[in-house]
Amino acid sequence: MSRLLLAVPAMLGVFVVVFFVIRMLPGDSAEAMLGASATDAQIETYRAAHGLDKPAPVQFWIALKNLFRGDLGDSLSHYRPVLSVVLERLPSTIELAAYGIVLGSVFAVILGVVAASFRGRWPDLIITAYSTFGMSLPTFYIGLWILMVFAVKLDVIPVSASAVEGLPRWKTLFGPVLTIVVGGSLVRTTRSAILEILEEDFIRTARAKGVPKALILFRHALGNALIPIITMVGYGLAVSFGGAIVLETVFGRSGVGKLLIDAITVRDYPLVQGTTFVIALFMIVANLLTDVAAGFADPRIRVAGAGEL
Amino acid sequence: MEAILKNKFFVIGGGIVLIISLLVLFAPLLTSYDYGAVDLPNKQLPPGAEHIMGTDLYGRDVWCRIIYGGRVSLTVALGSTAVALVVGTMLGALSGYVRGTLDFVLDRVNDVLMAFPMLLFSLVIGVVLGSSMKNMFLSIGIPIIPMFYRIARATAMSVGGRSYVLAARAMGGGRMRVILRHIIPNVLPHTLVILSSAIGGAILAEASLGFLGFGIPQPTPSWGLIANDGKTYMFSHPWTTAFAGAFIALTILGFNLLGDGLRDWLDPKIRTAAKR
Amino acid sequence: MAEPFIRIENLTKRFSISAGKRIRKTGFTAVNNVSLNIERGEVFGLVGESGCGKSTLSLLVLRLLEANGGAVYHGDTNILELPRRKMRRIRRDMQIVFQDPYDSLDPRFTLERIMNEPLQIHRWGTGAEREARIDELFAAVSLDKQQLKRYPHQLSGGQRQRLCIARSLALSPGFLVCDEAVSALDVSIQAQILNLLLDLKDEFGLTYLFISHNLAVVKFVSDRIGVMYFGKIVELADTDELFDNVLHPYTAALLSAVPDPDPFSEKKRDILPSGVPSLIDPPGGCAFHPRCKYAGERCARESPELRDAGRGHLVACHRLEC
Repeated sequence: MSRLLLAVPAMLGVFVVVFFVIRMLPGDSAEAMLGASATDAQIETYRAAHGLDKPAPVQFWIALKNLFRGDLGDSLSHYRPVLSVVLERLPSTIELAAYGIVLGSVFAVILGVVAASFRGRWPDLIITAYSTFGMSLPTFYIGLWILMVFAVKLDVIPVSASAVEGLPRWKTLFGPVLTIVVGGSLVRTTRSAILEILEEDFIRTARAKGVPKALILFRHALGNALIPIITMVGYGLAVSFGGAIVLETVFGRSGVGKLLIDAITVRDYPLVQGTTFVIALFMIVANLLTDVAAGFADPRIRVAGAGEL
Repeated sequence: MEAILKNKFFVIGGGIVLIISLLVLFAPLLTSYDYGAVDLPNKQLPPGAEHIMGTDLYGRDVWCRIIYGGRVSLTVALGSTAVALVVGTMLGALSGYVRGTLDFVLDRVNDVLMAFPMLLFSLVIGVVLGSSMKNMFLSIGIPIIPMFYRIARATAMSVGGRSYVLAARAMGGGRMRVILRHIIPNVLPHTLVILSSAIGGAILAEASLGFLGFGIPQPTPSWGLIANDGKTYMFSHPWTTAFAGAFIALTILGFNLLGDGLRDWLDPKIRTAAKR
Repeated sequence: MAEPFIRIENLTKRFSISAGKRIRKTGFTAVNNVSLNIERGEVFGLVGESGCGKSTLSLLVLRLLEANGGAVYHGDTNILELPRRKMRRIRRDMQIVFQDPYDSLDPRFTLERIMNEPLQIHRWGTGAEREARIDELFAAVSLDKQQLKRYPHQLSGGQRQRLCIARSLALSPGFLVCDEAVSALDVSIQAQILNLLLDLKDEFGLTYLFISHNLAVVKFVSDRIGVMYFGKIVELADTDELFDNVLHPYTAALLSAVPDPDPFSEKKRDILPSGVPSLIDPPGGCAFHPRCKYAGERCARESPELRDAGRGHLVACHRLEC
């Protein structure tokens, strides 16, 4: 489990980078928060109160100690601890990303298998063309058209999810999840992973034995294509999380992506720092889980892993 | 060279990229408007004879803004890809050839970078650096470094074990010489295969950043900012965002297809070269 | 005897498996405490099965791989302790020809660029002087200088190896390591290249460390031969002495494996039981004892030292010590 141990320095690394990078910003948050009309004395008081007058290494040490106590500082715009603000918004983003990745993968696997089994014929050509085109469309563009159709023309979902109280959950998720799914970013990988495996000897053997085609596809080929697909899903998670940031803005959901963008706009640097850190933490853990999942899907990795890790 | 012209992905993708490049390059000849000229009485016009793609909410000609905006978007995409190509290839070659602690550290950093959503990364770098063309090169370029790093590292590892590298060392050739003369030239063909899709990715990143409101400051148009300008009135006056988005999508499609074509054409060559 | 030119003392190289990632390392010793002298002007042959550490030894001698212990003297300087700059200078005098000539030549370089590489590295001469030098070298290895604009894949295997040899001689080295230099070639070409190497030795006053798994080839070129088994020298003697008076059972087995050109000779073969021992978990005592028909109880317990059995014939075997 050396990867798990490596996640710790990785996290610390992210923290150090985020901390110092934020300190490099022009104009500190005291000026940003108090506005241009603030007197020097007011700024000094503010800085002393928030520890901004101490040298950077001292600030870093304090921040690091606080980090281990689960304290990421206070948000300047929400007047609350950063951690509680971020944790409040995180579930909404995770929900969106999770639905997106799960349904997106199911969609991709179905299309990928169909395309691979009709290699070179019209269903394959249509699916390949579709996914090539889908990958070229910016997420926000797909999202806007989905809003146009489902919110403006058909009126089944609201234009902004957070503007309407007491909405059923599916109505808030429908638009952004559909956007991630139809983007079809995993279709091509699934198709080529399955095609590659169909070329292998054991598939030819199965075919020679007279195993039905559907069984070959779903039992033998898909089972073996699982590892590249799971690895791809791990990468897709980053894509889907990145997509979530844009989609929260498009569909008016209040998740961490929207939180970060708002924090950047009002220069709430502790919140920018905290949000970035929490998202990084989440992504590292999620990647670790995909690694473990890939290990379970492949007995070879499992055995080799036992010897190597 | 003739063979590649038979590859339909390459031809279609290359055609799209060529046409867009020409539109952007000859923008002054293709419009009589000024991309910054505000004309409030004629705001948000639908496409028509006067304005073939309509006007935006300040009455600026959308077609004019799009072809001029392409200059900005393509420059940002090429510049940031160049940053990623140079830095990623150098670090990857160094990492894969020298190995040891340096490689271990760089590879872990790379793992973390890859795990991080690209867009978020660009946002944070953008915040730190502030918005300008050069800073866009970095904020979009840095997150795509891993694409080039990984390919360079893998190739450097295999080339580094070849006898000709050992022979160069036996002659007294230093690390930098071996990397520059032997490793990098062998990495570049592999890099070419992903270069085109990296440019597509950079265009996408610029568009998304612009759409979120973090781009090169107004009034310089970029495709992302044009899409952003139109988004408030998307549902009543969709033209601005629709046309900008279509241009973004078409250009990315062009680069992706070009990349697919190049890969089909180069890959068998790379494979046979590796086998020999 | 002439002064020793290259002196190897107690050279040792251990490899750890999967370095870096794990805490508990396992490893093996590829070259174990090897000492030998190579005299100026001689051809020292080194034979052994694949995996016995002979190629590792060649990389260590040229410091293309860092040793874990021991010393390599070039004249009276220990090159393993030299700083990088001085090491570079001494590399001009120590060159290598590898087994696979295709792998030794960058496929993206023309022959001209390949030949220029060592000269450029050491900023040797002017452009015209380099050109003249390359002509001279091409003539020495019988390559046609019309081919200078070509690429390695346009040459035959034998021509490629000639090119490798020409390149290794560009800086007028005194010492040349030939690491399986003819093993990848057709048998008919092997003889040509071997003769070329011997001619060049006389022409340029070279000293060779000639490494091969093929005893017949080694016998043909060498003045003295060392037999390597499992990272150690087990027998070392002048070529004639070694073939007339085989002392180590492993050498005897190697000798009997050489094909005999006479189809009617009734040579009895000394076939070794299969199974080279595991490198990671080596047998105790003499490394050869599990395959040796003379092995006794002492062989399993104690590793034999390399001793002089008379006339400079060194051997490491307990059987000869009584």
